Amino acid sequence: MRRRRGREGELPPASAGLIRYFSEETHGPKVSPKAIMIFAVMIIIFEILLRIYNPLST
Amino acid sequence: MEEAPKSKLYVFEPLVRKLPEVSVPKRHVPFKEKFIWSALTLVVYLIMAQIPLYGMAAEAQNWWGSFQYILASRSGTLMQLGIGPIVTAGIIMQLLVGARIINLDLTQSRDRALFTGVQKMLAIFIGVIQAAAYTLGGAFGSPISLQAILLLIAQLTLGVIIVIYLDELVSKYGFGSGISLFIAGGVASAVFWQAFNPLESGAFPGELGGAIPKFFVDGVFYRPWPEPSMVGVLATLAIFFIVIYAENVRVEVPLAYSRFGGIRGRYPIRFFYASVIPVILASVLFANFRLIGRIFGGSFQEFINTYLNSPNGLTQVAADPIRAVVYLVILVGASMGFAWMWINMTNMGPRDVAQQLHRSGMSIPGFRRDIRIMERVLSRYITAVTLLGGAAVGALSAGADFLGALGSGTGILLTVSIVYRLYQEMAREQISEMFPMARRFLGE
Repeated sequence: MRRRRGREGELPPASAGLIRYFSEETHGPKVSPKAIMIFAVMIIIFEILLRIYNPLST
Repeated sequence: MEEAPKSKLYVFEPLVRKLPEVSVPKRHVPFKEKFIWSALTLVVYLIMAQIPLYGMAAEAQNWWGSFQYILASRSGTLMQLGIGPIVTAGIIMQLLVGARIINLDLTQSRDRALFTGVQKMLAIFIGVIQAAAYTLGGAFGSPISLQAILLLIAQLTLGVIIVIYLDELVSKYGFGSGISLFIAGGVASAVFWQAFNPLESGAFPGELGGAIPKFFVDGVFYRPWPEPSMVGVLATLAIFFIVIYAENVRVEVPLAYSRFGGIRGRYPIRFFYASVIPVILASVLFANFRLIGRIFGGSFQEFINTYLNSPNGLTQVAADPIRAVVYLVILVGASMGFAWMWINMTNMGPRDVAQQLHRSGMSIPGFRRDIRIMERVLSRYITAVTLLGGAAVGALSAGADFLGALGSGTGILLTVSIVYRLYQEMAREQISEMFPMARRFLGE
């Protein structure tokens, strides 16, 4: 499902990808992979706590 | 080359520069670390696909049908939208650039960065729209309080943003890409569960859920869909081996460098040149038709639900063989059409390949070094391979559904191809770590 194209003058891709990944930086603020993981895990924990301590009565 | 006019897309550049991105690894990421990042990300994804959304008024409806396998989505959880928004944004961007509606030159670094950034913003935007559509459309029950609506939209959007960054993380620090990892993980766990589930099935109390336990306990080899059976298990295995074989089939066009004393080389055109993308696009199209059918109703809806919807399992095929044949013909035809469209829209067509080969100073021995001649020769190969490959992928997907393969035809097709490529990448990676000298040959 992917295709990576780097430098110019490279051979055309051998097969198609649904999404193109480039190694270019977009010059945005940098986030470390650890921070992403911690963020995701925090959201998971938050969702679980929300369910335990504040069950919606519908 | 003359200075091309700057793309209108550059109005988004200031915004793109504010969008956080996963930092690029400063050095080569070792095999072990890549493995750990990929595994961790997959685990986090699978857990999020188990966390129910907070604030649902009723059990969530599954609007995707068996399409949810391809989108790695799970109804009623944080991963309700799955990778849908990312894939949609990716397809839209590729088509816009391929059709020159957006004027980006992807050989330029700055344009590539902009492409990546805008694609990410588009994915978030589509995520918000889909989240709102689901919530307001009553997928989580209605009536529903305003507070709950906002809560649900916020959670779904947050889910999409997390998936975008997990995908980026894997593509920079792991193997393959996040989306392929999530699809493969979701389908693989569904296949495993349908094959080995030792518990009673939810839908039919008293029936064993898994195909293999059912076979060994009750000696049942076949049972009608949706209950998985041994026929489906065997069909899944057959698809597995066929796809791995077909992944290795290729046509090799001989090449010669014009410099370096005319060193010979080969340009391989894979049998699955357009990969399994044609079937994905065809299923997206069919799913949209079903949605339109829902709006119009009547005989139009009946037609679409009959012929643009795969019969599942041998019982359904036997009940209406004409429907199966018509569906097969439509899917194969659509796949061929999409294969052709996709390679031409994404710069993989004869003209683009000829240009790229020409630019790197290569020609086909025995033919004049003229780009038009090259295009004509390549066109003969590429056209045939693309159409045949597209037809094969469509037929495989339909065949798998007819036999009741576990995890849906398209799902299993996609997963085998993903896992096989992942395996190849890991093998390559390991070789290049064991023999650092080999890195040059592997093009790193």
